[in-house]
Amino acid sequence: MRSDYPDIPPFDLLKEVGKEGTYHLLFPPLQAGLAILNLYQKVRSGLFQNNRFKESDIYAALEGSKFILNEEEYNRLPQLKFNAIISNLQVYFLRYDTDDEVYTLKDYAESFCRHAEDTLLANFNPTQIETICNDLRIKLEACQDQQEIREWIDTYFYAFRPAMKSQVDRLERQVDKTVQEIRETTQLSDLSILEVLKTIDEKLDRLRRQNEELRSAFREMKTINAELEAQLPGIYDHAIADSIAQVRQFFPEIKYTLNLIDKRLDRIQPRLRQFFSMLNKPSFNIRIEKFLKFLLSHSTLNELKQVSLPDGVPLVDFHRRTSNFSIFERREDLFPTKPKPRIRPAENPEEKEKGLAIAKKQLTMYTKIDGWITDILNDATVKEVLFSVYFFKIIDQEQGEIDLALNIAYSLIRRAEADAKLNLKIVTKRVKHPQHNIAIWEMKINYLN
Amino acid sequence: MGNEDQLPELAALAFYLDPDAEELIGKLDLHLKDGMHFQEVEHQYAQYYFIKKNYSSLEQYYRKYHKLVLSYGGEGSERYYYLDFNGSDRGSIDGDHRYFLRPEFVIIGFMIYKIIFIDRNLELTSVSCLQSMILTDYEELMEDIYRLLAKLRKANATTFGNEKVRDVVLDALKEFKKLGWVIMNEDFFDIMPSFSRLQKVYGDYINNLEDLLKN
Repeated sequence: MRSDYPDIPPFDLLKEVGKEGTYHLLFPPLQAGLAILNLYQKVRSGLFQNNRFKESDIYAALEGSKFILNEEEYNRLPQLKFNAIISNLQVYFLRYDTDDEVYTLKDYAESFCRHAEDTLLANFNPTQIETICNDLRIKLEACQDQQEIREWIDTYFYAFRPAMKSQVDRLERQVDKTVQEIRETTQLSDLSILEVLKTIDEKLDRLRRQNEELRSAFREMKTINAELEAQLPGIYDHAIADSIAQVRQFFPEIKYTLNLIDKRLDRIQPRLRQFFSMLNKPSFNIRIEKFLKFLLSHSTLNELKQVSLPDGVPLVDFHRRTSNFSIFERREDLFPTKPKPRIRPAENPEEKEKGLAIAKKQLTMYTKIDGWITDILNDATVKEVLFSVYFFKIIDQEQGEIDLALNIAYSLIRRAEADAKLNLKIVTKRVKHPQHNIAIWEMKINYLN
Repeated sequence: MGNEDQLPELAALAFYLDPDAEELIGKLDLHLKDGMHFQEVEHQYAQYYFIKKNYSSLEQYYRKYHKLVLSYGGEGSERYYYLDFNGSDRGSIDGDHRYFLRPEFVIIGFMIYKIIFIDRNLELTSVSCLQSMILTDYEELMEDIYRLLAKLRKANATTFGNEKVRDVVLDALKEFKKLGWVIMNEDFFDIMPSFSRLQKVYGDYINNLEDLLKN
């Protein structure tokens, strides 16, 4: 405690800050401050190797701040002024390594920027984005000609773009930060880790929701994009067409980033939860590390240079090699079919005649069958008929050939099956043909009323 | 499934009646016997729910006809199913048909576990990043990594040695993919719930390391 040492006067913050421009060194002027924020952001996103950067990077950051300020006066930055800014920043913000000629951010710079970041993060406001998007769309739809579209781009869209981008970047940085926090929990060894991780899990949930909100706020953009596309044919000025192309490029970029954030969340969260279940046994992880070290240090190589696990640690059977199925096939590419001459058989008029005759005979037979069946069924509508009468008559007409008669019998049976009204009764009593040695069971056919 | 009052032989075949059986069972059986683990992840939904639904009958089937245990691990959404080839009957499995995970892969499996879950690189999904991490971030293990994985006596980093380590890490991931422990697509990989099977299997040895060290 300071008050324990009466010789040293109590620390007076205001007095200290007032000394020799300390205030300006702690709270740098606008341009320098923005440059520091710029560098901090680049360091955070891992743009610099080992988080070290060169003087030219600082120059670029100072140059870059003029775009944010939208002021012309920084157009050309005299070398001397540049040098003065950097040496002022070296007091609290930048650390210079003379040997390697590289800079790093001092702790003060880090916490300075992080504080600003955390404060602004609380301002996450997708509703605002939604309102702006909506407004943008209405204004665009009101545009009458290409000149108005140009004004829309210059005045409204360019003003909106950084707002949207910063919301998305903010979200992305939050994810980065959370991942970092997870890594940092390795330092925590006590049981409080579970609480910390639960908070992180909740944070991830929140980020996911915010991403979703941002995405829905962004939905208007689709309409805007479509509207711009519809306007394109009426634009003859190349400069305006180029600006429109740029605007349209912006949307997929944002969408891509939002999707990327989604994907990252999708990956981290399941692993984090998997990790929870392992945390119930914190000492188990220490044991696993010891076991891994043991495996590495005690495993040996045999004379065939094969690795053997330490004595006492068995190998584990992880799958049974299933049979290799023998596939028996003749592969066309390896054994192509030999080309064979195509033989066209010579036409034999006699055989052709025979074939035709058979076909004709079949045709006539079908006609005859139809004729007979019509006759029989017509008779059956009047009264019950006995099939044997027709059967023998057909055989007589065909000079004892039985084919036609049999076909008719089968057809009748099939008809009777299909037609509920047609009644066909088989009497298991043989009826003989008077001349030929042919007999059938009698069939009685009639129509039911 | 209401098959308790049926004959046990029929209960073992109850999965046969599942409408999805015709489409799934052939390949599922092959995969299970190939050592594949099934969990509630997108590309395994159908098989996972089939096993979950018909667990008791499938379990009886494998026990009765294959002398294998259809087992599971993990809780809730971390649940995974697999055929256990290390059951009490393992002596009866024909030696030609047994396949052991290569010792290198066991070691790499534990390294991956350490990198992701103990050192909390929860976002690590790049195969090449994993390979580089193994080569650069574990100074204290490097000598043995080169000795066992690159099979080199000198522990100094060389392009040749690094390539060998990279190769064996990739081979291990390919093997884990076959087991369903990871998914991998070109440079992308992700750990599935069944990855924890490795530490489950070696659990006894992990917990009794002191005894092993005495020998």
